[in-house]
Amino acid sequence: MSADIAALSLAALAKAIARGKISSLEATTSCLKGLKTLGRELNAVAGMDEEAALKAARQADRARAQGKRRGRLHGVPLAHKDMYYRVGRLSECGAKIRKGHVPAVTATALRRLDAAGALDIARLNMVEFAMGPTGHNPHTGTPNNPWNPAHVPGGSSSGPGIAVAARLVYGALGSDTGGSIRLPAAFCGLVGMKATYGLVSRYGAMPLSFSQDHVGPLTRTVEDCALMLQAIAGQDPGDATTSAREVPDYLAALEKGAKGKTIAVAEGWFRQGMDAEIAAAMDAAAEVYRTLGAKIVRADVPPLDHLNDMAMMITGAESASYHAKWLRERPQDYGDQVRLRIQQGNLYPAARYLEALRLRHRVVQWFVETVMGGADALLAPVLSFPVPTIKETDVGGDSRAFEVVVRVARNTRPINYLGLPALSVPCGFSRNGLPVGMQLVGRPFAEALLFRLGRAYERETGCTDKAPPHCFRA
Amino acid sequence: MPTDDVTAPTAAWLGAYLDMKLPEDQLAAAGAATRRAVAGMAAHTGALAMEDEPANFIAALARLADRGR
Repeated sequence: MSADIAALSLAALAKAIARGKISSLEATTSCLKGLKTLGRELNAVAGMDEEAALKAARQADRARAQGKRRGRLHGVPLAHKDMYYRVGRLSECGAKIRKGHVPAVTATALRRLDAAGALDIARLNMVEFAMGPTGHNPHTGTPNNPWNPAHVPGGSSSGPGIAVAARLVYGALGSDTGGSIRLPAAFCGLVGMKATYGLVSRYGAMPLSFSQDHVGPLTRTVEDCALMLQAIAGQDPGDATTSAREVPDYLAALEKGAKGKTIAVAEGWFRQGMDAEIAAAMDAAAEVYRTLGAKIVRADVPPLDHLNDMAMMITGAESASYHAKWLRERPQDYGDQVRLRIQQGNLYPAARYLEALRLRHRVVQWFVETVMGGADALLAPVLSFPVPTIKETDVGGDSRAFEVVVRVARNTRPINYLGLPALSVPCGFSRNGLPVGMQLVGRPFAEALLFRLGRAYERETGCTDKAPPHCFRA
Repeated sequence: MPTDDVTAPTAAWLGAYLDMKLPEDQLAAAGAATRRAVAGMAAHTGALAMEDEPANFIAALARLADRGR
């Protein structure tokens, strides 16, 4: 029974619990077993409280029996990146400096998932302070990709990528400042949403770069991703940057297909240095959309290196500000790469940092109107080359660390500067057997359309059906 | 050296602030990244108006969404 439960999507499990066919206790027990075994083996787990999880599952079952279902995610076990604060519970952010940190607030995203009935059963590993795109962590150890443990899972939401792909939980919150949801989603064969800046509250989430941090879900299917975003999106008094815009029903148009929509295939800058098999995967995805009735156009994307540079500058300066005290008092407690990046953040001239922020509204307008033109979405690779091994990307704390950070997040970081929504969807496998991911970049607040396009591709190709070799089976 | 390349003096300040000498290879990489970013921006800062401010970004997202298709 557990194996069947583990293989269900979040949406399917939620329906089964709602109908009384599966109990939350059964699902949670199964997840805890997976987290304790394979989860530890792949180094995805930062911590969990089994007693509390089982108690919450029993409460959910009692509530359902009494007709008091809380919401669409009632009784569904989730687990999140270890940077979402919950009152009274550890939140260590993958960092030695945060060891033993017990926050005094609860993140809005967690409160909203609680309100939707979801269970929060574990804390998942992450890159130290969310500063790194591969998954390496000198404090907690580098976790392993469930498709091949010799390869990196992607970061910085490494634990969420592993735990969801390996069927340990049904969905997880990650965060994305330069690609940290889309990269682990792509590396682990998952769906991940970095929504429009301002759609999801950052309150109670560890900050890295307040101008570019995004909270969002990693899931096994597009529908699951829509369900989770639905629960967490919307204005929050705790985060002044959140939008007052009404949140649409992301499930309403999910099955309406791609027919009549215009998809711009990203060429030009996005094709520079791209591995041939990744290019072939992008072309194949475009062809799928063509057969589904979408209009395919080619976008000759001009160089976006300056967007990457400005995004790095903003992240560098803002993170240097957050970390100023610890950098001075406890520099030895940072990993080499993170300390290097924070130190570097101190070197940016304040006027240039502000210019990067002041330019932002002009650049996003240029990108949407000129680069995307009239397209509904831009189709681009998440990573331009096959998922690398842990060894290939283990460069320590010297200057090569910058090269890895820049190279791995090259295609994702500009979208954080732009604040546009981007949905990562798996679109095949490279010769090394690791997943390939595409990102569908949309106009501001066009998440519903991105889900619809992602779902159309998923329905046609079955791209989310395959489980990795290292996945939980009870 | 560009006039706004303050890497070297800022690095000296940082070293003093942290009471440590920063490794040369780190400074070189940091300096290169800083110079590249500043140079990349230079092509676009000409478009900046005095009235441009960071908060305009949130408004631009809303405006572009409303313009829709």
